[in-house]
Amino acid sequence: MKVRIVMLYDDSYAEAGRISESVARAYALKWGCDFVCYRHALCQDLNPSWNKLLAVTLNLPYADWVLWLDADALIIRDDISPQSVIERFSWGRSMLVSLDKWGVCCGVFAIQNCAWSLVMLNAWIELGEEESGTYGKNKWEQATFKALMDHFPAFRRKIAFLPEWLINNRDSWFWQEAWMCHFWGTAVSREMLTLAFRNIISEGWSPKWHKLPIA
Amino acid sequence: MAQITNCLIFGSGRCATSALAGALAHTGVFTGFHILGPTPQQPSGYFEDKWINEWNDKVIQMSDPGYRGLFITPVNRDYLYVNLPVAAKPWPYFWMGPYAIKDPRFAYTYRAWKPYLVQPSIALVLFRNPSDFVKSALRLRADFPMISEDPKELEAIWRNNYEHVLANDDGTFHYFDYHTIVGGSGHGHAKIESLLGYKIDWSHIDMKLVHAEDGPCPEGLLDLWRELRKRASSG
Repeated sequence: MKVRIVMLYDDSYAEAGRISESVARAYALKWGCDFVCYRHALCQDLNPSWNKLLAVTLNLPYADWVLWLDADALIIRDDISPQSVIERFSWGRSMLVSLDKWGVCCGVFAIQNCAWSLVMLNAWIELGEEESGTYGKNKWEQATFKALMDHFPAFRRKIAFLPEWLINNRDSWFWQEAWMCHFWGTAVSREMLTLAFRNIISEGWSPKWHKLPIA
Repeated sequence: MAQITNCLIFGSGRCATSALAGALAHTGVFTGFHILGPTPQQPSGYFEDKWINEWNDKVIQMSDPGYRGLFITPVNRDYLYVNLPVAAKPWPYFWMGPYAIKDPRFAYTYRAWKPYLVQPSIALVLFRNPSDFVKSALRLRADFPMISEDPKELEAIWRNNYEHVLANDDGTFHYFDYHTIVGGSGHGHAKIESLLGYKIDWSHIDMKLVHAEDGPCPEGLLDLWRELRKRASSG
């Protein structure tokens, strides 16, 4: 299974992004994955959260699966291969999305190179922002994704999940065995995020750096 | 392998339900959104969804105002069931198939959940000797001091849980003794894999954490204990 890991961040995440990028790059090399990271928006008119969909769409033809990582998601354990995670959690479905206490979280997801995925990514981009406010105060791509999950059974039957105990977040329990932690960078200061990343790399994953204070 | 089957996991707690849910979670099965994590007495985690716990507690309290929480007070023996509040339908949990959702409170709330289950779906009921349950629950007080310290009250919690399980059994329930899950015989493992239709990664179960004491069953609980064992051996 050929996996391509894709990231994108702009200057607002420059310092923390460089760290999570370097960790992901080394991880990709270890597991024989391609790695692509954009350090700028691909479309200046779109929020970076929507730019991720452009980045994933561009890279999908070059791998069996694309693994998307937000810049505020840090790989904790490099002994877990992306291939094994996809095999274990996909159950024959075409997309895996991480979870948090609010439901699906598009900060980390994996998507299969297949006709459905290309059509879905294009539809997702074209649909644009969800306006009801039901799915969060920010009109990010995640709100549109949640609306699709809520209202289209055929859509959600293609979706599998990456559990919270595998991809921790600041509101999850602390799991020593976590594969990654998604720090919700909009909720914490960039300085704190950078500090946490540096310390996790030097000291290891611990509860001390799990729940970063809200900025 | 047979068709993949979803499941709810029943049991009083302290009877290998976390071990089973953890093995299923590590196999890639959905066990919830917001998962209760490790504590010192349960370092491998509980694999229960916090929202489902809270929801079930509220539902039980609606008809048993004296109920103060799992392992704290026994649920009223006359408690039957109530419907879930309309505003809080649990269906998002069942999109994420295959699922294995665990909560000891399902013994009381199963009928409220049943309409939302995605078929095929079964119930896996785990149990252990009630005196061992009591010892284990008392050990758990180190993590959760609110747990009752009265062995008689804990026995009543065990009894009421399984009385409700038996009352709710709609023919989809399958019973497993604690030892067949964590005892290493593999008997329970093979049967669960056959029922669920997929191979399970049992390596998650840490045998060092197993307390298999097998104390004498209290006289007043013998009939219920025997009934559970009978159903486990005949399933």
